[in-house]
Amino acid sequence: MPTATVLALEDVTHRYAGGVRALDRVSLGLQPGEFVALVGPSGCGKSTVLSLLAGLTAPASGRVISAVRAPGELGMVFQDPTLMPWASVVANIALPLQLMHRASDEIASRVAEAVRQVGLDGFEESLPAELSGGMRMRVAIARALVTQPRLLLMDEPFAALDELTRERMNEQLLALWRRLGITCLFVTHSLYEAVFLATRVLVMAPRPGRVIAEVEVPAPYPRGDAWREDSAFAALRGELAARLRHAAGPEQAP
Amino acid sequence: MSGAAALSLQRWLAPLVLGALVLLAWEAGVRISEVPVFVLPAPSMILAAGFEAGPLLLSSAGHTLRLTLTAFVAAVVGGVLIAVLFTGSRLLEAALYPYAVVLQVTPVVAIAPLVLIWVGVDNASTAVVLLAWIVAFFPVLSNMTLGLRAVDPGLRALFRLYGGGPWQELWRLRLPAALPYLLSAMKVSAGLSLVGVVVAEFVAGSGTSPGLAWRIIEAGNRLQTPRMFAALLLLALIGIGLFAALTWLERRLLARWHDSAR
Repeated sequence: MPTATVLALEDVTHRYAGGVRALDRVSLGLQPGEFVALVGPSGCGKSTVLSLLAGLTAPASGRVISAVRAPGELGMVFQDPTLMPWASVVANIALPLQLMHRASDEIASRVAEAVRQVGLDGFEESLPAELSGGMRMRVAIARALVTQPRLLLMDEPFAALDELTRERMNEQLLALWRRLGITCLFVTHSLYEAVFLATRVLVMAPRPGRVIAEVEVPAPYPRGDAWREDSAFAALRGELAARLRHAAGPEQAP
Repeated sequence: MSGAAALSLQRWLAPLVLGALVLLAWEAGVRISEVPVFVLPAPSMILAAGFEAGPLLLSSAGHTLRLTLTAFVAAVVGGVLIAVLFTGSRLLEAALYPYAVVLQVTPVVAIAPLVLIWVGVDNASTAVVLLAWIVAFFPVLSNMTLGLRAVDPGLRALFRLYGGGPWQELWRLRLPAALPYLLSAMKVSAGLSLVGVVVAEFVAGSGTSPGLAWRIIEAGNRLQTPRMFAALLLLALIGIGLFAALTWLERRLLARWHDSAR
């Protein structure tokens, strides 16, 4: 591993409570400023990788190497927006800073900035139930960004959105990533999304969960519809799909 | 008139019209069949008896309401505090919960004489509040315990990610998440407080406890059936008032975010 690695798993094996191997000797690392997509079929341990990287789970064996251990250096976005339904948009976004005991004027200015970053101006006092699915996800992203993290972990954040909203969110996420210069790890089961977003795609296979391939996506940023319609886009997607099929083997269709 | 307005009018009007019809039939039936007053008085006689004993009944109603509210507030505070302790310690919950259930399933009428002996017949009001509390606190305890645990695991992970401590988790996450559970328990608990007070007053049954229950016993002993009905009516009004107030509170606090209130 190069010394600049922000966060890495080294030879990590992890088991579920029942003793089933969730991950088998997984090694992966994130370099500063990268956008890495982690793809694979359901049940291949993608979410477990995120949980280990975030320090929410301890590995059974192997090491988690992290340059970001102070609270707030690492932001996380879950598959569901995971908002407090009784709290307003700004109260939800302010939560990480409050848990970190920051001063209230600092909280106010950081929250206002995060609201602006994700384009939620005018909805500050709305409750989650009053927002659309896409807007709720923006609240979750703003909450992850409010601590100005160096690293953002995302677990299928747009899986529940319709395709049009998802594509728009993808573009906005890329714009944020480029502007803020943070490192991103994005879990998805959509190869389309992975090839659109990432600088590098890691492919995982199930039973036991392991990384079977690593594919660079050399297309330049900013990426938009032109990249989606590029022949190289389709070729990369095809290559990833083939590797996934190969990994799944004949007995199982993911 | 819009459909929604018509429906809401119908919701108010239907029970009122039905009630009026039943009262008319009752009045007519009693007058025609000449049932003795001490068996079934006509609504007009109940009303007259109510006015005649007005000050007495109202002061008794005030007494009953005061005891009910005291027991209710104590039940809510006690139930919430014990539930919070349970959330902090599974061991404590395992040790205490069975006894809370025992207290709940033992009929309050059966415990009342003991409590009266312990607290003293002179302190009938204290005994009544204690007995009503025993009946009313359990729904708060069990619902609140459930509510404090019914927390989104994703949000708990988020609290851990940012180094949130147990007090922050309790204050910012568990208590707000439990609010809908608490409010629904409070509606049950308020009704049970009133039942508890009335039952306890029946058992305590002496002139030292001047609540509505005692007025009913007293009027019954004297065969003043219209007055019994008038006291009963006041008890029902107290019950309805408590329920309506708590339903209003629930709507107000939950309307914007919880499915149950929308």
